[in-house]
Amino acid sequence: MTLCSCRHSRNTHYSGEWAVLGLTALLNWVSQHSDAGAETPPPAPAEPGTRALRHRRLVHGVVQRWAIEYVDQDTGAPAAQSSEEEGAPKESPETAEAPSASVEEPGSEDAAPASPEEPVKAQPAPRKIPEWTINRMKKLSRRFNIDLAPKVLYSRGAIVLVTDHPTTRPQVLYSRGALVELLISSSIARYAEFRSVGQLLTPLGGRLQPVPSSRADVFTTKHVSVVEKRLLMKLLSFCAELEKHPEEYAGFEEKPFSEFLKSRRLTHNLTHHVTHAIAMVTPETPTLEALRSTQKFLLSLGRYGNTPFLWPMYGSGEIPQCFCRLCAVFGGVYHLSRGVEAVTVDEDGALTGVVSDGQRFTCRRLVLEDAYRPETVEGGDGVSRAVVITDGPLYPPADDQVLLIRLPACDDHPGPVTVLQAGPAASAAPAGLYVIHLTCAARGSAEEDLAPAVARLQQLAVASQEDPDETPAPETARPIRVLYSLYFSRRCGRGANGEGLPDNVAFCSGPDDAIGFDAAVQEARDLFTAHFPGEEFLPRAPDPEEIIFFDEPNESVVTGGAQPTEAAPSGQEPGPETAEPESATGAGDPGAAPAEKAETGIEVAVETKEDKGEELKGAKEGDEEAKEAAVGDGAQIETA
Amino acid sequence: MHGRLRVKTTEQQEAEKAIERQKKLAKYNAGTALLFKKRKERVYDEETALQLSQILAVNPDFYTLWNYRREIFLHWKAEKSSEYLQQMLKSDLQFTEQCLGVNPKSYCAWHHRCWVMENMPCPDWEAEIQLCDRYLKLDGRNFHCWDYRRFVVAGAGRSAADELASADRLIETNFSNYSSWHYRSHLLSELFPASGTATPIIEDKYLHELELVQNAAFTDPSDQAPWFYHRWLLQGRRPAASILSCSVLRGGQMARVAVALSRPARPADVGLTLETGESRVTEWASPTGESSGTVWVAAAPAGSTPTAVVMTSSESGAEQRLACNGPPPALPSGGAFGSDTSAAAGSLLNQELDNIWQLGEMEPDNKWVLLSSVVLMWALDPRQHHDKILEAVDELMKLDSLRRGYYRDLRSRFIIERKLESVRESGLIELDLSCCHLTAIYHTNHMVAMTTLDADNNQLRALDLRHLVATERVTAKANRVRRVSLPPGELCCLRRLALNDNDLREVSDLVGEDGPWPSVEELSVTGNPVCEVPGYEEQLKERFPGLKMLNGKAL
Repeated sequence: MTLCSCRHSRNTHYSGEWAVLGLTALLNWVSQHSDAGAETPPPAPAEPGTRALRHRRLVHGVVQRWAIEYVDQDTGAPAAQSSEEEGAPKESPETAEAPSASVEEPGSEDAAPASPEEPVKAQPAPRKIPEWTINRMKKLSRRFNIDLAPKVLYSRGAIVLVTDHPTTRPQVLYSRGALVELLISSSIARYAEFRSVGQLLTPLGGRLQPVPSSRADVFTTKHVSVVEKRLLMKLLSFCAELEKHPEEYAGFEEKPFSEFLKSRRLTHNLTHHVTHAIAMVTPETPTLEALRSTQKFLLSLGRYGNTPFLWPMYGSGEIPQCFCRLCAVFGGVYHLSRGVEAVTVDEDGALTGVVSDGQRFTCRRLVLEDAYRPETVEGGDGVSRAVVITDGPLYPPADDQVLLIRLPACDDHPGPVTVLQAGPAASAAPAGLYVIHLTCAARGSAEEDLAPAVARLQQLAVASQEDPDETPAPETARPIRVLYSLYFSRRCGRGANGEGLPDNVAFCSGPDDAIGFDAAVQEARDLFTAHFPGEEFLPRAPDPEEIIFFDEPNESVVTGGAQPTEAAPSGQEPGPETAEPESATGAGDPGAAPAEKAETGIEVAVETKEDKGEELKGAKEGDEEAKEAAVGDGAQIETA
Repeated sequence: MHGRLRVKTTEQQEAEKAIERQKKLAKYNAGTALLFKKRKERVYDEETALQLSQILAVNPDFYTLWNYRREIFLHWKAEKSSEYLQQMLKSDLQFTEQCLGVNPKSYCAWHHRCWVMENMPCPDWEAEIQLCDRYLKLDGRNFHCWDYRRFVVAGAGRSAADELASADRLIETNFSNYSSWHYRSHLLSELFPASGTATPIIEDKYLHELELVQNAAFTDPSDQAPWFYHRWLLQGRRPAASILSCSVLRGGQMARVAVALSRPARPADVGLTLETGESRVTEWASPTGESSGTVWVAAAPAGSTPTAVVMTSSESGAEQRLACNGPPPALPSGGAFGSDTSAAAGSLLNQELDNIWQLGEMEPDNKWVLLSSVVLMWALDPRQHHDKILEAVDELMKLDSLRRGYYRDLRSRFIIERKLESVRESGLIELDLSCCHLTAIYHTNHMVAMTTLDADNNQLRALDLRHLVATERVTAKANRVRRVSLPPGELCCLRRLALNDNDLREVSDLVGEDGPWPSVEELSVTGNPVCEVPGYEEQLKERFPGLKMLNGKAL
C-alpha cells in the first residue's frame, strides 16, 4: 500500500492554530478572525455521493489594543491608522488606556489597570531610544515570532508503568514529556533549535520570586531557610521516585494536595512553590494527581538547563513546521489557502475522497481539524489567550531569558494563568521588546479572563524591580509598558466524531490550555495506532546520507534542481527489487502521523494505487497527481 | 518537488562507511609519514604547520606532531619578526581551541596552549581566563582546565578575590564540584588568613563558609563534595610540634635519651638539642629511619649525664625545655589530642554541632551527617561526648558497612586517645589497651615513656612497636597480628614479648629484617602458624641472642 499524504489548509500559513506569526501576519490574522463574514457559508446541498462539511469558527472574542500611536517615522507626525486593523476595536491614538476605558463597551474596564503607571508613562522623554510606534513595530514585523498557541516542551519523557497488584502486568498509566523523546528518536529535532526556559517565577509576597526547583536553585536561594530546604528536597526526591514510595502518600491519594503538604510540615512559602510553580496545580487538586504532576516536572529537570522546559527558537509554532518539513521530504504535499467543502463516499458510505474548491481528490483516510467537527459536540472547554507586547521584561534580574510564570488564582481571576515571556534572545521580538503570552481555561471572554492577570503582572514586575535583594538601584525601576495587547478565545470542540461521516474520517483537537504538548502527542499517537495498527509511530527519520535519490528521467525533469545531486550515480539502482513494501509505507507514514498535529488544516491521505505489486509506479503517479493538483490551484508547495 | 525516497540498507551504509574510513586512514597515514620525513629534514615552513594542523585536528593527542609544531615555532622565533610570531601563535590559540573541541581533555592540546602563551610576545591572559570560564561552564570538573586556569591566573596576575567570585559561581550552579570547593579553600586561606585563631580563615568569613556548606548539606546531605569542604573547615589549625616526653633509656654504655614530639619534625628544623652537663648533642637517630619523625634518640657522650632536652618551635620561635626523667610537660588547653580550639571558635562549632544534629534528626540514616557530628564532637569535647561518639561510630559501621574498617580504626584511635589521657593523668607508666576491640594502634609517640603495653584480646593485624624504645614489656595475645615491627636492635629495650595466638606465619613476620635484638629475654609465640615451621626456634634464637625463655620454656 502506498500512501501519499496531502494537506489542505484554509490558512495562508502552516500549522493552523498552532502557528507562529510575524507581527503583520498576526494583525492580518486578527482582522480575519474578528471579521464576522469569515464564517463559512452553511453547507451547500450535498451532491449525490458527497457529505458536506462545515468549517466552524473556533476563535472568537478577538480584541486588540494599541497603547501607542501610529506615527509616520519620516514625518514624525501622527498619521491615520492604517485601515487594515479596522476589524478590531482600537485604542484612540492620542493616549493610552485611560481614555479608551470610557470609550469602550462594557467589559473593557479591565483594560485600564495600567493607569496607576500613567504619570511615569507620561514622561518617558529622557530616554534616548526612539519611542515605539505602531509604524516602527510593523517595520520590524519579521523580527516578531508570536505564537497563537505557545507551549513549552518538557525536557525528558518517560512512561510510567504501574501495577496495582503484583500478579498483574504493568500498564502504561500515563506518559509525559513525550514530545522531546519523539523529536529525538525520529530525528526531527534536527529541524529545530531550542533554548531552555531560563527562569521559573512565582508571585510571592507581592513580588515575582524565582522558584527553587533544581538542586542548584534550592542551594542558592536566600528566601528559604535551611530546614525548609531539606523538607523541600525530601519531598522532591521522593516525588522523583513516586512509584517506589506509595507508602509516603498512603491515605492521601484523593485528598487535597494542601492537606498532604501540611502533613509533610511544609511551610507556607514552600507550599506555595510546590503547589503553584512546581506541580502547577491548585491546593484542591487530589494528592496523587498533584504528585504525578510534580514528578513530571522533576524528571525533566537538569537535562538541558536549570528548568525542566525547552522553548523552541522562533516560537513553539516551529514544532509543527518541523513535522511538515519531514513529511514533505517523504512526498507530503501542502495546499495552503484552501479548505474542504465535502467528503465523497461510495455506495457503502465509505470514504473515497474530498472536495476542495470544487475539485475532487481521492483518499482513503481523512484527518480534520476540530473546526470541522459537527456542531453537536460544541460546548467543550475553551481556552482564553492574551498576547501582550511590552517594552521591558517582567523580571529584569533574569535578563532576556524565557520566563515561565504560573499565576495562581486570585480574586481578580478565579483560575490559574500560565504566563510565558519570550524576548529578543528567543527571537520572539526585536531588541527592547518582549512578547508575553497568557493562557488559561476559558470562563468568560478572553479579556475578562486575562486583563486582570496582565494588570497583576505589571504590578508584580514593578515590585520585583524594587526588591532590594534583586536590584539595588531604585531609579532603574520603571513600570513596563504594554504597547499592544490582543485577547482571543478558542473553543475546544472535543468530542465524538460526527454522525453521518465515514469511519475513516478522524478529527484532531486544537491547542488546549496545558503548558505542554502532551495531549497533542498522545492524540496523534492514538490516531495513528487506530488507523495503522502494528506500525511503528514515528520511526527514526533517515539521515541525508542514508537516502537514495532516484534519477529516473521524467522525475528528474520535474524536480529540476531541487533535489540534491550529490549521491554517487553508481549507488542508485532504481530497480523495484530494492524497494521493500515496508520501507515505502514507512516512508510515507512518519510524516503523516505528526502532521496530524502539525498542521490543523486537512490531511488527506491520497491513495493512488491499490495494486501492491507496483508500489513505485503507484507512488510516482500519486506524486504526479498531487503535483498536478497543486499546480492547477496555484497553491504553494513546500520542498524540504 | 519531491523525489521518491528510499532508505539505504544497513549493509549499504556499512559498506560506504568502510570505504570512507579506508580513505581517511590512507590519507592520515600518508600525511603522518610525510610529516615524519619532513621533521627529519628539518623543514620549518608554513605549509608544514598547516599540514600538522590537519592531522592534529583529527587526532589532538599525537604528541610527536605537537613537538614538531613547537620546533617550527621556535625556528620562527629565531628567524622571523616578533609580529609574525605573535600572529602565528595567536592563530595557534584558535587552533588548539578547535582541538579541544574534539577532545576537551586532551593533554597535548592543553599543554600546547600553555606553551603558546609562554612564548607569545604579547599574550592576552584575560581572554584565556574567559576561555577557562567557558570550558568550566561546560564541565566544571575538567581538571585540565583547572590546571590551565591556575596557569593563566598567575600569568594575568588576577586577584584572588576575582577568582573567588568565579569559584562562587561554579559552586552555585553545581555544588558537586570538588575542584571548585578545593580551589575555594586555597583562595580563602590566601585572602583571609587567620592569625592566632583556631579557624583556618578569619572568623566572619569562616562563619559564612560554614553557612554555605550548611546550605549545601541541607539541600543534599548525601553529596560528599560539600562534606569534604566541611571537613577542611572543621579541621582547624594543628598546633606546632612540642615535646611530649623525654626518657632516659636503660642499658647501653652511654646514656641515651628518647624524645617524643607531638608532630613529626626534623631535629635540625626545630633545633632539637640534648643538654648534658658539659656538652650539647644535636645528633639524633630515628627508630623508624625516617627523616622527619616524632620519636628521636640521642646518646650523651660517655661519662656525661643528660640533663634536659631543648627545642625551638618552628612557628612561634619559643623555646621549650624539658628535664630528663622529669614530670611530663603541661598539656595544651585542648588536651593531648584535642585541637586547639579557641573559645570563639568553640562557640561557633557548638552552633555548628547543633545544626548538624538538627539535620541528623531529619536524616537519621545519613552517614555524612553522622560522621560530621563525630568529627565535631571529637574536636569540641571528646570526653563530654564520649558515649555519643562511640554510639555514632557504631551506627556508622551499620550504615556504611563498606567502610567498616575505617570506622573501626576511627574508634580505635578514639579509645586509645582516652586511655592515654587517663594514664597521663594518673601518672602511670603502664598502658593497658586490652579488650578494646582495637584494629590499629595509634599515637605510639605518646607511648614512648611507657614501660609496659598490654594489647591483649583485640583485633590488631599489625603491631608497630618501633616508637616504643623505652618499653620493656609488650603483650599482644589473642589478636590477628600478621606482622610485628620492633625498633632497631641497638635502640630496643624490650625484655618480654608475648604474642600468643596470633597469625604470624614466618619468623620474618615477627621481626622484620633488622636485628638482632639482644635485649629480649622472654618471647612467647605459641598459637601462631609460625610454630609449624621447622627450625623456627633456632631462627628465633639467632635473632634474639639474649633469649632465656621461649614459649614459656627456659632455654
